[in-house]
Amino acid sequence: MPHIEAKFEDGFVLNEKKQNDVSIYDDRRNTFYDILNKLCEVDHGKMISFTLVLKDLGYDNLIIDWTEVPDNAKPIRYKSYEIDTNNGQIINEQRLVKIGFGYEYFDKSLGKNVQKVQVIS
Amino acid sequence: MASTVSFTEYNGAGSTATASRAEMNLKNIDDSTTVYSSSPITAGNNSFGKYQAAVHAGTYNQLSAASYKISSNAPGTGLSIVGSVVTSYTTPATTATGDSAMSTTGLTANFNTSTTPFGTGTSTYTTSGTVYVNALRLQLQSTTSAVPGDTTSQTITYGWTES
Repeated sequence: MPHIEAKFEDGFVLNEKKQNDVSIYDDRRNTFYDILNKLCEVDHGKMISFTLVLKDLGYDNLIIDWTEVPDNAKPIRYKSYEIDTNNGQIINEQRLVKIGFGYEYFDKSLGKNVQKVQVIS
Repeated sequence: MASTVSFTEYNGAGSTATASRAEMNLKNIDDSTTVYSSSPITAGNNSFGKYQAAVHAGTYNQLSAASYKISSNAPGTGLSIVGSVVTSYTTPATTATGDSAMSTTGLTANFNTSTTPFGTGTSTYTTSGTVYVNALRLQLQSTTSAVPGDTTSQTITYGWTES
């Protein structure tokens, strides 16, 4: 399963799969919540990379060098799922159909938010 | 962990909730226990309306883009499946619900509250924990030309996006 990973200045790595997608700070939230809200940066310094790990599936990881993105950039990672019935039975198995990965920032010269997102389906 | 999804069904005058439903068959009785083959819909009649709602739990940052769709709303001669996303509940009956043919492309639903799917809700949801999505109401309608026996099976799909 594709998952995200964030690396911080002190070398700390926050890995969604290793965390079982549960926030370190709020067990009702997920790993992306920690990254989006910069919750690890108090203890570990600024995020230096944001990665969509695909190597388990035989593809190259998508890595964003977070030191190169605009200061006001926010990470984006979304997953679209479907769940079906089959012959009247509800199949309780979620089907991942799409992932969006990237970031957005406010471009002052354009006066609007700009998204840099790769969509994998 | 991520977000997990189950389905809750509502029956009776009091909208009695039955959680973690395993099937979605349309039948000639308003309950969540009788097997469909024991309460068949006779030609020229309608099934009882069926209310089922997706329920999210687990961990997430935000939920959005909830929708329901069906693979085909015309499963056979003299048969049609109608449906809508509802924000309120009425006791299921065999009278026509008034809904249009169930969408094959997707009916948008909102995320309501942590206790019920019945309400206006919002298209995105950032409060953590359990949340009920607006319910899907389905009904099988038939004419006297309907052929006896099981209809061809149709697939109901619930879709959503989470971050």
